[in-house]
Amino acid sequence: MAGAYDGSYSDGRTAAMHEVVAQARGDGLHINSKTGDFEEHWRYGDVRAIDPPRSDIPFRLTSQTMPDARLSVNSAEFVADLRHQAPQLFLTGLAQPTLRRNIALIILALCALGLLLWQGMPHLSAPLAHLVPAQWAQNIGETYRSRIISGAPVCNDASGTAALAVMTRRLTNSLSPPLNVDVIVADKAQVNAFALPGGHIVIMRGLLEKAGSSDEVAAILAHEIGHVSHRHPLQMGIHVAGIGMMVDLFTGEGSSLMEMAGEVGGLLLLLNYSRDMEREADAYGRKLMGTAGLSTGAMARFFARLKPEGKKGGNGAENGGGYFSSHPPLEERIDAATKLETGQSVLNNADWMALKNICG
Amino acid sequence: MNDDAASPLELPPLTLQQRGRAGALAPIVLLNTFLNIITLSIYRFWGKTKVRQYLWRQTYFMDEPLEYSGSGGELFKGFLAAAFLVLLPMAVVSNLAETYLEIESTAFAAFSVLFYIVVYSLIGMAIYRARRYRLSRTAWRGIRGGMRGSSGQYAVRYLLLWALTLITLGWAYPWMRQTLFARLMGETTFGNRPFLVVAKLWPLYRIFSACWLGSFLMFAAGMIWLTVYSHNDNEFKVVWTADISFWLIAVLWFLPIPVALLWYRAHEINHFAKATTIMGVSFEMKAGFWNLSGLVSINFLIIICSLGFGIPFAQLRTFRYFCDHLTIQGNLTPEWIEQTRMEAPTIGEGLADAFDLGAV
Ligand SMILES: [Zn+2]
Repeated sequence: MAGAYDGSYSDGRTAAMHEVVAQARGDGLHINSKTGDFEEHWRYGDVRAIDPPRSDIPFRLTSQTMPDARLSVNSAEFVADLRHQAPQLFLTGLAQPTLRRNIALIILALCALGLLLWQGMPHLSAPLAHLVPAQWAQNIGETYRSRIISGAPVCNDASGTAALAVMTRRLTNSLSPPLNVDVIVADKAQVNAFALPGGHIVIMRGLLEKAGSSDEVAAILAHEIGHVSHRHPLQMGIHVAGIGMMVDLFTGEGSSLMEMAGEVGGLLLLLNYSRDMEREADAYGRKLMGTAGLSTGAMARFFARLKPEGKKGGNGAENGGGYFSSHPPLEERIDAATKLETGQSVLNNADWMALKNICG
Repeated sequence: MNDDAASPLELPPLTLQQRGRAGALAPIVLLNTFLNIITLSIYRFWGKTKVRQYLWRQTYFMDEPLEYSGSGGELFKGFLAAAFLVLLPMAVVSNLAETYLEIESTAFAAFSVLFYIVVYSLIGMAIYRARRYRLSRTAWRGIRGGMRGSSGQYAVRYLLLWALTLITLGWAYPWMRQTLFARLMGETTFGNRPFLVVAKLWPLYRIFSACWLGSFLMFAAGMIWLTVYSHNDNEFKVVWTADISFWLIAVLWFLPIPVALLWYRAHEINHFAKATTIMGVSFEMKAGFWNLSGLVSINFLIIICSLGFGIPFAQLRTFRYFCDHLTIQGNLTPEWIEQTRMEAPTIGEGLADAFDLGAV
């Protein structure tokens, strides 16, 4: 026989409180007014606990048939009786359907966020990149450029600069519509070159030192011009900004940890073109070399030069610098580049020496 | 025994108490912090709900705990709605404007003004809606709260009064505060009963003008000291004067505003409490400069030192401060308070989350 426990009850129509006696019987919860003027019978299927039973507050219950009514009983024995009759009111952990639903919702939200970032952004960024005005791209490119050369001097030996201009003109002359590119050499030892928004291209001194001929440099330059022509740098910039925006949106701004992770990740991503982009730039570069009447095998020779060193480098990159890590496998690129082999040198020997010594 | 047919219990005293303890809140906060980190903070909606459930059920009105019935899912849906219907379009529009409009053009200036107008109205709207949501999820003896006004009307006043405050160098501030409070509190309902706010403006202006003039005089004194000092290029200009000047300027310029604001706010809280009634029941707050400064500065330290994760502790302290300094006078007849007939919002305070409007 279920015990009878003192409790208080309000019917949900007014805030008045009534003294009642509550009993957890076999057929449901019985609530009887102490003055005998009302009684309620809640079936267990309708009963809901307002909070799980706790020692510091009375146990509060309601019924789905009268969702504003409240029964409040401050007795551990009553809770034990009820637990016996209606164990489903006391589910904990993963047994609770609402908890399971919430976990599913959170996982779904994370997946949606991931999908939006990794699948949605690339599709959005390509068309958006073509909408960005040239002046804006220029400014962004300058900002990125100063961040990438990070204080290293820009090499400006006069005859070296002239030789670089000759090489650039030779490659871009044949283009219609003309393409605006601004090539500089930065005094850094890395074997590296970057294309940035607004047609900015940076070649590192290390690459000039590594190259065996002016044609090899021209081939790299043609490849970077390929990136510029396809607006890859802008696309990546938009991609990164978009990811930043989505992450901000979802995680709430002001969490500095997330922001820091975003900054670092953003810069890394920015310089990490997809393989498709690299293939596009390679193909474009070869075409450019061919149109300019230059040796399309130069690219292959440069890569072949990189290869033995890359074997030694242990960081998984194909070269010591790490920049080419995202490129298609070297073999494939060498193959593709050796297929066409004609042409003459882009710079005469004196100009080539001047370019090599552009950093003084 | 009462021979009234409804048999109400003997009424407990009219008190509002916060019985929560930091020690009991800590496990909730720790778990939330952990789950926020592993879910990229998407868990925050559910975490916030857990904290509110705790704070609410530890708040006792007339010896009866309140109840918070909101859910994390509702907050999450509110957030999604705000993010995709409001924030994302705004971000896109402002990015487009920055891209296509000259930064120094009148068109851009006009856009910026318009943008701020929209943002400020949205903030006003967010404050009102968040309050409506929270009240609709707050119940005492099953009777819910609510807001009976329109968030749009509040937003218009919010925008205009803030603009007026800026234009008048702060002199509209008490008027703005009182008007907005009268809107928020005067449109608050408990069950079918509205709160009433009837307040005079001049007591606030008495305090405010003292605060404003005091701050202004300190600022002016700093200016005068600086002018005299910088024209004084004789032997007075020795190291110790430089040191003293630095500290003097720091004290004169940066101390008055927070001090004045706290002093004003303490008066304002008491003034607003006195102006508020419901069913003939009146309120009295005993906030003072020192106890309010203690609350604000320790809360500030808690939030800073915990990198924001400790916000719930600050909220608990604020709740307790409010309950401890409040006295309620009059006779409340609970059976006269009927359940509200207003419809509760179905989704949570997305905009407020988006604008990072703290509250609870
Ligand atoms: Zn490339």
